[in-house]
Amino acid sequence: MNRQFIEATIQIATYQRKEGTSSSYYWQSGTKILPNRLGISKDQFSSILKKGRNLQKITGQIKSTFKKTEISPLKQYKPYAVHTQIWGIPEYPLLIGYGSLGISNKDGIIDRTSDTEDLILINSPSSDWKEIKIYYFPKGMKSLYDIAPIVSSMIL
Amino acid sequence: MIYDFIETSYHFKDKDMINWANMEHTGTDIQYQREYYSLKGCRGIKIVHFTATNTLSIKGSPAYYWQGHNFNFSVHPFVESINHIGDLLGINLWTSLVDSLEIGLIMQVPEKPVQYIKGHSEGTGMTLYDNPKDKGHFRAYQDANIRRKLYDAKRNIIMKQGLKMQGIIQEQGWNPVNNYLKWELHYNRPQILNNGRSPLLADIVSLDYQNRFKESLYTEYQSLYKMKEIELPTNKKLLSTPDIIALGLNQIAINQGHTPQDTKKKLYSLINDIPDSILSKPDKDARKRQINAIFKRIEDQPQQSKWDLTEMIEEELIKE
Repeated sequence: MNRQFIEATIQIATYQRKEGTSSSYYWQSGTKILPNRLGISKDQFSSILKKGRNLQKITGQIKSTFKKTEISPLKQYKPYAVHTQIWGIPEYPLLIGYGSLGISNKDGIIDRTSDTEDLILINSPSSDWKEIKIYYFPKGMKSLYDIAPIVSSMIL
Repeated sequence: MIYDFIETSYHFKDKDMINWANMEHTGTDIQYQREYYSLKGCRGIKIVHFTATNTLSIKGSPAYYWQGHNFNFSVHPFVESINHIGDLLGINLWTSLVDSLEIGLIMQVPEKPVQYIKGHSEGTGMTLYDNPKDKGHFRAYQDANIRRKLYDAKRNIIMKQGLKMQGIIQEQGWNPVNNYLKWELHYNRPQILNNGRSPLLADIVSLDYQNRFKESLYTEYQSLYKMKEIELPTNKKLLSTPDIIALGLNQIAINQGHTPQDTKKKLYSLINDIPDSILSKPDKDARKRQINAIFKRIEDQPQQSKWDLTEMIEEELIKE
């Protein structure tokens, strides 16, 4: 995957943490592909088994649900939940990490069949994660190592 | 060799999980039961869903979609881009049927491209497309199966691309100071490549097809007529006044992209338009014979056309 394609198709959203909360983030600007409110935690909202790709360093977790009024290609089956771990990428320390979005499936749950392979890369200009920037790339998981250096250079 | 435009059809069953979420819905045609979508890239890919037949038609240039230009696009990025489109749609696009496709090559030429373009006219059975709006920078030579195109690739980049993309293309080998010509084959009926059946998208990236495309780029070029410069005879006997008029007339006609055969036909037509009361049929035939004798000497000139690109095409094909 080349730079021109990545730059042409990447979608960026900025989320701001709500005052007085530790993990409740609201959309500020950019693409509205993700829910208006995201739960983003440095800790994990729910514990996960340390196997498979979760053997990588986990730097956070995202959990959210689309509201009835929201429109997004990721909103497919009730309860319209979105979830991913955030895994660190040691080669690109400017990024908090990457995630592969899972969305609720026909049975209304998120399991291994729910992975969209849509890639998100996450970055925050401050160490307290007050503002979070999310770079979304549909079906980008296979090209993580093509996309990560370009996004990393966009941050600089 | 450059892979350019493709149009493919993918027939799906109800159980197939098409990923509509990654397509942008752009319109509906209720009368013909079609839904229109677009796939975002550097440039869009158009997708039409024929709802009555559960068919997706995917149409566009993977080169423009993937990298924003078609100055180069070998089989490798073509495969990569098709894989990505297939992932986005949730289908194995390689099993789709090819309805039309375009391949080509770009060569650096010493003279201005417009001169070469003017120096090629349609071969037997082809129709020439030469729109005055293109000001001589584009010509197409078409028959029922293939549209052959010869155009100024540098002008194409300057007209179609912004400065940023021009910079990217320069990094990939384009030098704006040089002249480039693009020779393209657009297969309107790719069935001719596969014994009358549409090839699969997977077929056209096979080594066998790559070689066939290379061969076609060469042989289809040979089917064009290359204009020749008219050489003046050295024998005084062959420089009568009618000879000089014919030589001058053909020189002008050739520079306007017409062959000596075209000019001869026009003169025959002029003679035929003269009423029989002024020139009888034997008189007309006699004049045609004289014209034919003079033109035969011009048509028979054996020299190589100055505008013949055969060697440059060979070089480009060998490079790969």
